[in-house]
Amino acid sequence: MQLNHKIKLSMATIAILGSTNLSASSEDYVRINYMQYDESNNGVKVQAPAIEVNKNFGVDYTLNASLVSDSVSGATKVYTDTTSGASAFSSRTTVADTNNIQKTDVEFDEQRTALNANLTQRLKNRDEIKYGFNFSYESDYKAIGLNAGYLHWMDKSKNRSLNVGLSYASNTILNRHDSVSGASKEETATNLGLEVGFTQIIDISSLVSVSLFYNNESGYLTNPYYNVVRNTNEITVESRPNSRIASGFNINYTKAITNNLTSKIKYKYYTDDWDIDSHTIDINNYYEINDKFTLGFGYRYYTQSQANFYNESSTYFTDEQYASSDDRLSSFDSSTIKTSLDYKYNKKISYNISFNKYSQSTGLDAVYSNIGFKYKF
Amino acid sequence: MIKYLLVISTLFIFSGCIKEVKPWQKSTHAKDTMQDGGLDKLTSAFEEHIYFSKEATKAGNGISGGGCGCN
Repeated sequence: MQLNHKIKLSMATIAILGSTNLSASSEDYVRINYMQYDESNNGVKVQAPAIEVNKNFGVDYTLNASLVSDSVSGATKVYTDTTSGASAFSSRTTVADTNNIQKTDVEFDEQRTALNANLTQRLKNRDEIKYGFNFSYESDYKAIGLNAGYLHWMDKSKNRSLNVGLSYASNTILNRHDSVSGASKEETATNLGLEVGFTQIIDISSLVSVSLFYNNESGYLTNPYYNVVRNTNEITVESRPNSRIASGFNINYTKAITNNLTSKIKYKYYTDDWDIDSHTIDINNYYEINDKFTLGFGYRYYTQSQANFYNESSTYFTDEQYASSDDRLSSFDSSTIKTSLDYKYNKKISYNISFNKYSQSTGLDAVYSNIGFKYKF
Repeated sequence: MIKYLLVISTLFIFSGCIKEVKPWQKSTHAKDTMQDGGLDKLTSAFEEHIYFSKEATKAGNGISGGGCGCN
């Protein structure tokens, strides 16, 4: 359940942000994927079958919709009183012998369903307006989001475009252990995102795009499944600020190096008022072996600084207003090695598989993979 | 601030290399491998979801570009 909560929040926001991507596909197709994520050492496992439909209505409208139903299971580590078994699921536990406070695995199992739909409308001057909706539901979390985007072509040949996207989401979280009463309580949080992007075709084989983004989260941003130790012997729910303002930028460069080799390079800078700064370099390459097979290979490097209210120690926190020992808020770096193979069976049908390895300096190791099928109609 | 100057610098650097590309010269830009998200946008979204779940960066995966104008 603990990680589960993160996934709920993340999937909702990804749906929102992902759906603000402009430039819809001109193909009509159905894609079915079966995606998996597995952490080593009995960690989190995710199985996520998904379907995506892209349908054009004339030349002015494109509808894209996707449905994901994922099951999340496994275990994650939280502070526990090893004698009583009490953990974050208790509102507050005082432990007589501090030697009995240890991080132990707590198992969870959850199911989630998410729907994402976008309609792109092309105007007479071929500028594009995108309208998006997304919804995510599970037993203790639901999210509803709306987004809109506008893409303006700045020249006749459509070599240069400016785009703006806005997203809003409302999330409801079931806090099973309110810190005051100990009872379950529904909490809410909202997310407002804004991006402004510029894309320029450089020549017949390359393009560059840059974007600036701003994000404002407010409300209940604490993870109710994570805990901290205060005064060396009290296990209690972590506490995060109820506001988070972030900004940053992306730079993307895409180049067809040869007729059959394409390289995409992305750099992203992110900063927020929790003192987290991050840098991401993501390189993806596609090599078309022949008319049937395309090989994908890539590498991603990520590094971040820690939040100003994070500490991993069980003897650090006393009466601080904000406190978290969630290691995703720590200072670490990560790397991903990515591979994929796409096979075009004929003009309408293609298959693809991918296998990727993700490693963090925190000790987290995981693999994620996909088997997919695409039918153009 | 210096970092944001990097964005502006990028535009200036590439502005010297820009050649006008006519619509009939965009066959390379129209290829799936050139598109944002690559050959499989569902898997790309799943990948972003993993990073979002396991890392603290919570924004910036949105409107990265307007594409090539091939549609």
